[in-house]
Amino acid sequence: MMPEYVVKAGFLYNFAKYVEWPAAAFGQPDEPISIGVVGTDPFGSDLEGALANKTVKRRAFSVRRFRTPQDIEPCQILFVARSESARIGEILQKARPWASLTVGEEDGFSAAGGIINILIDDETPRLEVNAGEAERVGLTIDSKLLKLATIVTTEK
Amino acid sequence: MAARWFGDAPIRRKLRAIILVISGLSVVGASTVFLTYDWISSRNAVLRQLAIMAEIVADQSTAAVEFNQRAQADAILRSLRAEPQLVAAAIYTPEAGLFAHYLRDGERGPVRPAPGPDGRMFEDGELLVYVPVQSGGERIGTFYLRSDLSDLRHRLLVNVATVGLVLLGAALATLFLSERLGEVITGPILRLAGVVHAVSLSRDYGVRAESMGSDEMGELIEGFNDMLAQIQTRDEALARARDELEERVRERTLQLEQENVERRATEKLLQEAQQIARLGSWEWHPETGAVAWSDEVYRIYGLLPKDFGGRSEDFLESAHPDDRGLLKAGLEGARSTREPLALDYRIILRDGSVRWLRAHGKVVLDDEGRPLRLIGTLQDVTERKHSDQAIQDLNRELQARMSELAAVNKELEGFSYSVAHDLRAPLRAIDGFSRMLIEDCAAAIDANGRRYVDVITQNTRKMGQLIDDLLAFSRMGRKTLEVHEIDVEKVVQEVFSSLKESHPDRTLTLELGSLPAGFGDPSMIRQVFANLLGNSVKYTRGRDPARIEVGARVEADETLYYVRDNGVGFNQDYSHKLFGVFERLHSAKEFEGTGVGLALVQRIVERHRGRVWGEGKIGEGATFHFTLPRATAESRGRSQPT
Repeated sequence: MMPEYVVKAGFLYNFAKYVEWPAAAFGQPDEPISIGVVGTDPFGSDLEGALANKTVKRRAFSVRRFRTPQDIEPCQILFVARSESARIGEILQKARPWASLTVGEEDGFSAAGGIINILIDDETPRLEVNAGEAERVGLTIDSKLLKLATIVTTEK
Repeated sequence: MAARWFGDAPIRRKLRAIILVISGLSVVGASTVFLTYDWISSRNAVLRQLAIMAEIVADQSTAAVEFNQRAQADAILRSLRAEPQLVAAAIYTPEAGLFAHYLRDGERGPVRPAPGPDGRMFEDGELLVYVPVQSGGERIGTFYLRSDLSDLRHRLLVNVATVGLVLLGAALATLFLSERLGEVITGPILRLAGVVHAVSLSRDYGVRAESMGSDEMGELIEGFNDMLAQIQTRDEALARARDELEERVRERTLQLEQENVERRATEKLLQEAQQIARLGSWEWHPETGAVAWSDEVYRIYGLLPKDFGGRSEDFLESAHPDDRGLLKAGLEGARSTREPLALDYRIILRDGSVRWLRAHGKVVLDDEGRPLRLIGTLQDVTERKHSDQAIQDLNRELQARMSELAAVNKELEGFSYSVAHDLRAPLRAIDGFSRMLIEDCAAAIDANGRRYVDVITQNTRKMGQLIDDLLAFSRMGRKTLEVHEIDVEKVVQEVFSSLKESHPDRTLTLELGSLPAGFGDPSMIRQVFANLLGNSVKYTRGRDPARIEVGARVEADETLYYVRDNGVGFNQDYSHKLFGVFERLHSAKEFEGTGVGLALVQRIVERHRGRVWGEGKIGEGATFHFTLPRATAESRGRSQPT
């Protein structure tokens, strides 16, 4: 069985294939897709390893790390590490205007307004997608991904 | 076997078989091509379809693979159940190997743990497809799909069934159509065949096939009819010729049999005739030199057939050495002149005796008129030769005597004529001086003397009569016979009237029968009747009435006249003396006469080549007969010298 974050790093890469960002999300056509990790980095070098030499629709990847929610800057994919469970609302609040695909790993992340949540049950990954939130921020999620995932709506 | 059956089968069946085979072959060929093409194209289509399906399902399953959602992948694969021909499906990933798989219900076979190379292939009657599972231009796994060919098989089955039905339908339609259309071709042929069969069975060449159109069949029928007509004509001619020939053969056979019988009879007759006549026959072929003798010739020669060589030389050598030249010249002469051969030659028999043979021969010419052979007869004429010689000697002697006699006779006649003639002058003198004695010297002669002178005168007259009769008789020997048709009846009546006139004192009756005309010298025949009637008148003196009967009878080649009277008659025993000169059965005292009359009658009748004779009995009258030959072309109007 692969280590958890190797899988999750692969997932982040794979999400890029199933999600379309609005045109405004990128400044240049060959601008890399930037993946931001907020909180305590659980990937180590696995994320870079998973993304090395990878492109999606001719875009390469770049990884940014934010220690605190205050540090976060606009990026196409924003991974909220488990360490930020308590500040999920604040982070989502901050990222909402940027059309970022927010990805979490804690129960309730999607219900809180996170777009994709990766859960591991009995070593089998399970996905939750908040389709309403994705639509709200302007992201189009491939139906194939939607079929795999549990669709979740934002709880008020 | 099949080919012999096909050769013997009727045309209708052949035609049907050909049409069936051709249409069957074309349908089967077309169907095979169609089925093969359909099989290949549908297989390709199925393969393509399978590949497409594999692509689609692979694409569908990318997310499940990438996000490691096996359950989801299984669910996607399970959706393939909708396609019953799909046997198995699987997704392989590099990390997990066999990631997810699907097996059709009832299928147990293990799914391969690792994928094969990409592509489509057939394996064990199944179609396999390996396609990559790609996501974002990246290969993330392999999709495997396996399908059986049940669809294709089903389709093939349907196709084959359809083709079978079409084939069956086509065969039925072909049968039906060939039956109908074949009639157009076989109908005339079958009808023609029927006519041919009928003709060959009945030998009736008067039958004609029904004419049909003007295609090849029509021409064939027309040709056949023409042929029949010709055969019929020839057949009739042949039959006629045969009948005629048979008739002729029959006739000829009969004729030949007849001829054979006749020929055998003739041969036998000839042989017998030769034997009886002692007449042999011979035959000589100058070209080949062959000589053939009949049995009789061998007998004449006293030879056996083996003694005779049968060559020309042998024939010549058979003759007397002195006569060989004669025989050779005779034979060669007949051959070159073609004239009949007739010669006598001698032979010497073995006993040395010499025999005379007479050969007669005739040249037989061939069709071109050349002498082909000589045929002839041969006869032993030795005896005849000898008797001929004797006869000739006798004849010569007779001839000499005859001429001697004729000379004497002539002399005698001349002598008697001149005697009679010369006797007249002295008789006239006696008569004249007797009369002068009575007239001039009557006074000097007494009654007795006068009676003597009368006797002298009477005898002188009688002598004159005698001389006249003798002269007439002797003239008869010289006079030329003038033969004409004579009205005998008229002659008899004239003679009778003149007799009646000269005997006015007598009662004379004439009974005249039918007297046919005769041929002869009229004055002589008149003399005959004058003498006979005169005799009758003379010898009936004293009979009152004196009956004289003249009649005639026509015989085969002569006419017989007779004169009958009721006079004194004569003794039949002396009848042979009646016709002699100066012969008399009565004395001159009883009945005057010179004895020349009947002699003259005989002479005249004999000169007419007739006969004369008398019948009588003393006191009962006499009958004189004479004959004259019947009128013939030869005797009529012809003068006959003595």
